[in-house]
Amino acid sequence: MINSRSLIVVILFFLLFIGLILKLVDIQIIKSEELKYYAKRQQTKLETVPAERGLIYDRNGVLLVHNRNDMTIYIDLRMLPVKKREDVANKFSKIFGKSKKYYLSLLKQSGKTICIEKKVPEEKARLISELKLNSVVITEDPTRIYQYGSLASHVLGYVNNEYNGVNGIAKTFEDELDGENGARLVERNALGDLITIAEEETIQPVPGNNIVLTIDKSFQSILEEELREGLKKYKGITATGIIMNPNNGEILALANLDDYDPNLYWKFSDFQRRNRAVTDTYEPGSTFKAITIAALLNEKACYESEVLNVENGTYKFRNTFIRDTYPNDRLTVKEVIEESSNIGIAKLIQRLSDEDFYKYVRDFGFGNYTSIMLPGEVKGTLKNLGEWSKLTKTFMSFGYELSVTPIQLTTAFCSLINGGTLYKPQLVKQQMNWLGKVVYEIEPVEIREVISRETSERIKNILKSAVENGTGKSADSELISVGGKTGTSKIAKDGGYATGKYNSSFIGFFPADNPQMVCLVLIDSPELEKYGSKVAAPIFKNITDRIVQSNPGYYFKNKNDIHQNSEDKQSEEVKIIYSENVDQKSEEPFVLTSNIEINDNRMPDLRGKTIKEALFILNEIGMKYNVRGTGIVNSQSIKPGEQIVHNKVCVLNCSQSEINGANVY
Amino acid sequence: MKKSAKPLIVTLLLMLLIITTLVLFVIGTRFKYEELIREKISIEAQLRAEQTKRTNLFAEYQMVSAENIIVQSAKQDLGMVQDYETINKISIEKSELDQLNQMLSEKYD
Repeated sequence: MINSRSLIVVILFFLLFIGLILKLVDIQIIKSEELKYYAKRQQTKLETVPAERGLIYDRNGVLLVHNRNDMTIYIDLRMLPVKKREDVANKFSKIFGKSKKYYLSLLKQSGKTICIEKKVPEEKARLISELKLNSVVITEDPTRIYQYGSLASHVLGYVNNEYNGVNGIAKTFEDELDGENGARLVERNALGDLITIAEEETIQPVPGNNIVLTIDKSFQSILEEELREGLKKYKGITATGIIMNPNNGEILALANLDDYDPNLYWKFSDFQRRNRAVTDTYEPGSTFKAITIAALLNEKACYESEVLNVENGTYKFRNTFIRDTYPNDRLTVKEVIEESSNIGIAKLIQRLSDEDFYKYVRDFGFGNYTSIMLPGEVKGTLKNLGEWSKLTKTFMSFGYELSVTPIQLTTAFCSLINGGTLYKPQLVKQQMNWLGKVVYEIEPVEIREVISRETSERIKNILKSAVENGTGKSADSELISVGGKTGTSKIAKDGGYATGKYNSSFIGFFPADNPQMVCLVLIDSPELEKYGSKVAAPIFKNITDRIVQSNPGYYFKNKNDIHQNSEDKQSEEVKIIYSENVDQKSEEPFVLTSNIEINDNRMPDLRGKTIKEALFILNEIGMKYNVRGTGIVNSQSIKPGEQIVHNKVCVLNCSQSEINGANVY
Repeated sequence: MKKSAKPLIVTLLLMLLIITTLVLFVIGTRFKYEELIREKISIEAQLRAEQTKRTNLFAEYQMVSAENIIVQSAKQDLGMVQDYETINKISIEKSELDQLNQMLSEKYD
C-alpha cells in the first residue's frame, strides 16, 4: 500500500518534472527567438547620444555662441496614481517656484505623457531626479546661448526647435557644427530604471567643430552702436554696415539694424532676421563713381588734372537732364569725384565703350554672387549688354540703372584701394575639431586682378582728397587719414522712385596711405537729412575714431609708405610723402609743422601738436597711446624728456581751442 | 560499495558548492559591472555638464571683463567720468606778462 502510494507520488512528481522540462524546451528552444525578440523590444532600446554642437568664437577667441545643458521633464500619467498627484505638484512647486495649482492643472490633463517643465537648468532637474518618482522622465534638451544677444545676429544665425541651424553661419556650417550623434543600447526594467548598457554596441558621439570667425567682437560692437545711434539721430528706417580688411577679404564686422536676438528669434519678424547686407539690393548712387573713375583711369581715358566743363549744374543729355547738387562751371577730373559731379562723370564715361564699361563692372563683381559664406545671397541687377538703352551706361556711371548688395559694393571697393585685386569675402578664419586641432584655416581667395596697382594708388589719392576737400569732409578723422566716397540715391519703388526717400551712404577706408579697413555705412530713408555727406559720413567718422582709439598703435604697423630722413636720429623733420601726386596744389605732403626731436629713449614734447602729428610721433617710437578729447594736445601723461618705457600707455589730453596772447587786465 | 559511495556524494556536493560559488561570483560580478556602467554613464553626463558649465562661465567671464563693459559699468553704476572736459590753454607772451607786472607795480606801488 505504502509502496503503491509512493509510486503514485513519484509518478506525479515525474510527470510534473516532465511537464516542466517540456515547458522549458518550449520557452528555451521552440519559442526562444520569438520571446527573445519581445524581451529585447521591451527591455532594451537604442538611444541616441546627441553630439554637442560646436562653439563659435570671434577672431580674438571671444566666445560668442555656446550651449547650455538644459533638461526637459515629462510625466507619464499612467504611472502616477491620482492620489499622489498633489504630492508631486507640491514637490515641483517647491523646486521651480511656481504655484501648486499650476502643476495640478497640468496633471489633470488627459493623455499619456505630458511635458511638465521645458528647458530647466540641469541642477533643478537633478533635484527632481533625486526624488525618484517613477512617473518622471527627464531628457536632455540643450539650449544654444548667444552670449551677446543681438550682437552679430545676422552673421551667427540661430537654431530652431529641432536644434537645426537657420540663417547665418549656423546654417552654412550646419554639418560641421552639428557633429555626429552617437548611439547606445540601453536595457531598462519595467519601471524604466537603467539596468545596463551594451558597451560593445555603444557608438560615442563626435562633437561638432568649433568655428573661429573673422569678425572682431569689439569692432562689431562699435559698428552696431554707431549705426544704432546714427539711425536714431537721423530717423532712418534701417541701417547696414560692413567693415572689411581690403588686403584679404576678411569681414571684421557686419551689421543690419533692425536686428534680432537669436536667443528669442521667434519674437522677431522675417525682415528683422534677414541679413539685408547680402539679401537686399539698392542703387549705389555716387559711391559707384569710384568704380567708374577706376575703369576710366585704368583705360587711360582721362587724367586727374584734366579740366571738364560741368555746365553749371544742368546738362541735357539725349533729351534727359542730368543735374549736380553743387553747380560748378569747370572741374578737374579729381574735383568731379570730390564734388560728386554727375555731369562730369556722365561726360567722362562716354570715352569708354559699352562693352569695356560692362566688362569692368562685371570684373568688380557686380551682377554676380560674392560667394560669401552666408545663405540667401542675391546677385543684384546688372543688365546684359543687349538690354542696355542709350542712357544705361551714363546713368550707371553715377550709380543708377543697376542694383548692388552692400557686400558686393564693399568687396569691389576693397579691390579699388588694395592694389587692384578682388578678394572673396570671408567670414570663417578657422575650424577646429573637438580636440582643438585645426581642421580648416582660411586662405585669402583672389578672384581676379581688376585694375592695375598704379590705378589703385591714383584712386586712393582721389578718394583721400574727396574726404579732405570734397563731399566727404565730415568723414575726416583727426586720428587717422581717411579716404572715401559719399553716396545719395533715390529708392526704387513700384517701377519708379519713392518720393522724398533716399539711401544715404558712405564707403571709406583707413589709414588712407596703407588701408587696413574698408567700412560701408548705409542708412535707408533718413528723415532729417538725405545726403551721404550729412548722414552716413559722420557715422563713418565716429566708427573710425572709436576703432582707432580702441586699438592704439595698431593701424600704423606697416610703415613702408612712410619715408623719413633718418640721417640724423637725434633731431629730424618727419614727413609722409605720397607716391603719386598728380595735383600738387591740393595734394601737398603732410609735414609736421615744427621740428621734433625723436630720441630713442626720451619722451618727445607733444604739447601744441595736432592729434595726427602726435600719433604719428608716438607710432614712430612704438609707444601705445590713449587720446582724450579732440583738437590740440594740451598735456601728456609721460612728461617730455622722461625715459621711455615700452608697453606704458601715454595719455594725451586734447582740447579744441588754444588762446594765444590773450590780454588779461 | 557503501564505502566508495560516501566520498562520491561528498565530491558531488563539493563540486555543486564550487559551481554554485562560481555562478554566484559570476552573477555578483555581472551586477557589479552593470552598477559600474551605470555609474560611468552618470559620471560622464556629470562631466559633460561640468564642461559645459565651465564653457558658460568662461563666456560670462569674457563678457564681464571686456573693456567696454567695465567702462560702461564705471560710468553708469559708479558714476565715474572720463576727463574729457576741454582744457582751455591761455598762453601769454613772457614780454607781455612782464609788461603787465610792470604796469601793476606802477599802479599799486
